[in-house]
Amino acid sequence: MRTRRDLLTGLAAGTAALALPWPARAQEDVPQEQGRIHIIVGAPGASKLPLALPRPVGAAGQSAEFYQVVRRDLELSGWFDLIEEAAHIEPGGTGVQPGQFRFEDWEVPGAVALGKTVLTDSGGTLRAEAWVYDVPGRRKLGAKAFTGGAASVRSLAHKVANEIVFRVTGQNAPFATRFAVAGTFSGNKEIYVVDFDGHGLTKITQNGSINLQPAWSPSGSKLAFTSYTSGNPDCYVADLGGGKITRLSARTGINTGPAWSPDGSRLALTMSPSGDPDVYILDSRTGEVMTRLTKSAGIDVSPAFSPDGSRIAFVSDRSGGAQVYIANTDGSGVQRVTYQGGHNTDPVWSPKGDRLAFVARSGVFDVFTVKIDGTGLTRITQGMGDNEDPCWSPDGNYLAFSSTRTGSAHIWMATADGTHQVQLTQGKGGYTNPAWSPILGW
Amino acid sequence: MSGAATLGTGSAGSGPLSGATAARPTWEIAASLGLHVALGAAIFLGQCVRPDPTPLIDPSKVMQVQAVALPKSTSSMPDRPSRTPDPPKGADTPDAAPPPPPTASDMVVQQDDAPTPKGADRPQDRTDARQALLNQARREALIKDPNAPLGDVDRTRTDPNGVDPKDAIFGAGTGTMDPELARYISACRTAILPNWTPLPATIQAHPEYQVQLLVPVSSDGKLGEAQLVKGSGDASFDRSALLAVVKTARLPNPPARFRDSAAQGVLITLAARDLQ
Repeated sequence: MRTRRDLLTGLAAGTAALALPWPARAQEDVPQEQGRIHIIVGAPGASKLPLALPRPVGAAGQSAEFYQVVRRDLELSGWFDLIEEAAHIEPGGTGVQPGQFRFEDWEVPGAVALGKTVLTDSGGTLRAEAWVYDVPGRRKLGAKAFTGGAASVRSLAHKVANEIVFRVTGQNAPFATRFAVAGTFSGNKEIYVVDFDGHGLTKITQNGSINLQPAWSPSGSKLAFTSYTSGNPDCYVADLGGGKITRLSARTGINTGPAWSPDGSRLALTMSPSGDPDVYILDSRTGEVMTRLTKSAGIDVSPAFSPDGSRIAFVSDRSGGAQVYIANTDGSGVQRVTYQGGHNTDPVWSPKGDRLAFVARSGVFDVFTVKIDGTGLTRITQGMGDNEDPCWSPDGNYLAFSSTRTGSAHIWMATADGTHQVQLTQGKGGYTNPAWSPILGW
Repeated sequence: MSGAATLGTGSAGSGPLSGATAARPTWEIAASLGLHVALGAAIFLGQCVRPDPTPLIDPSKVMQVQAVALPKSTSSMPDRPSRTPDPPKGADTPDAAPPPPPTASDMVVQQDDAPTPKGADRPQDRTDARQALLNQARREALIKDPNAPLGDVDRTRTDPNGVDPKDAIFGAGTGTMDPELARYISACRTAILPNWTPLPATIQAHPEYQVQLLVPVSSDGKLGEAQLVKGSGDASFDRSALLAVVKTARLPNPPARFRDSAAQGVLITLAARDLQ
């Protein structure tokens, strides 16, 4: 959010900008003569983009909630510096289409992008529109309409926010996603799903036992997780559409940490039928073992598929401490990835395939990323409680993780380089093991 | 075995060597002593009359380097990026505690390369090497120190690329740049970049876009009216560049030697991708 001082500066610059000549063509008579100082400025994008978001036009009673959801999504994204409503010149209710408003009214407060919205309610059907403009360019970047039922105001708002981000940045935003979490809200540890912005908490398991490590299927229709409901850590799959929960693996020993292959046909799982935990690949429908990935004498746990399904990252103590390794899905080509620190766990492969996020313990737990060749180690969190269980957004632009920096465990999100960290869930906390869903169609 | 016993128990005068010394005549000993005394006196006198050697380094040309202690890292893991903002207001964030000391497994013992002993130099190369180092140090001092005495040498002409200021577009090249100008350009870049906010979608779709502006800069850094020298072909992108100059309004004061040039106009290229 911009401060008053920023606003004044922006107003001054915006007013001056009105007097700018429109750069129709270059001044051909200015030669690039020798003997001049030459300043090269490149790679913009580090600064947040000034964006104006006037309140929605329309008579729907849920406009206020709609506006708040869109605004918070855009703030959470980290892309924008939203201009305060107090600096808006345009009267409320002004039209959203080209020709119905003046770009100058948005240039003065310093807006570079403008997101105009409409929300109407016709007989219980909500219709939301997003109109996105380039203010300095005085052009429309795009417009899109969405419809839904009377209870869909929040999901419509997420879609409108997605559209604004996409038109301005060219990137898909993760607003239409959910998290699966292991929550401690009822005293036990149950599996829940919750919207990207922390709303809409829905319970998936209700067995009064310990349920943890949820993992979304690639289609977003199923959740695999570990449960102690039968007294042993076994692997279950919940069908989110039908509400049915099936036990997939209940072999002797542990059956923990499921990870789906990108095509959804396989599940990687840590099992210990002979006492020594190893990584196995199972048929995701039948639970039959297809491949045993690791056979070393040490502990091998926490598998994660690469986006193309050809490799698996896992944690092994074969070198002494817990370190991250990758291997082909037939167990060949084992390669160590992490070397710094003595306890690196919970690898997750970025959707772009170039990096792994993992947790390192050095007194407290912190999230790091590293290239799969072991170079480019980047710290995401530091000196802010325990930060665990990282997961990537579907587009790979963000990381979410569980953090205790405010006391109890909440889901936090950071841009992939660690900048712009925001808290997504609210309330008393208890959110652990977050797993980021794929883009959902709701 | 008997020989070994003789050496092991031998005392002065008991072996064959002591017998030979005893047989030497007294006059030979006196002559030897005299010759040694004369030789020592000659060497002493020679040292006294030798002129002082030329000092290897002219003290007036020596740059003083102040060593400072760098903070010691407490973690084997890299620090979080400095751009990371504080947690949002309202979050009850405890004060950032200092990172814990590294565990034994975190510690990495670093062995510095041992310095090469001076005696390892080959004697025949030493003079040439010293002279080369001295020349290089003098040259660098001349180039880097803006207050170095110039004499009749134009400091910019000592650029290894041989760039004449009259022929240069200062800052545009990738070669060695005048350090004072380099600092100025860097400061200008830092001042302009936060004010330039083109649409990210445009940057992503057209990383080749560039805009070149000519902007007069007064001696106090105030920016005059920008002229578009070369556009990108996208009016919105070009306008974002002009807006960046308007928002920046003022740059650091140009270096004294470049004020005339700056007043006539500074070329500013704003590029969608990093050209450095």
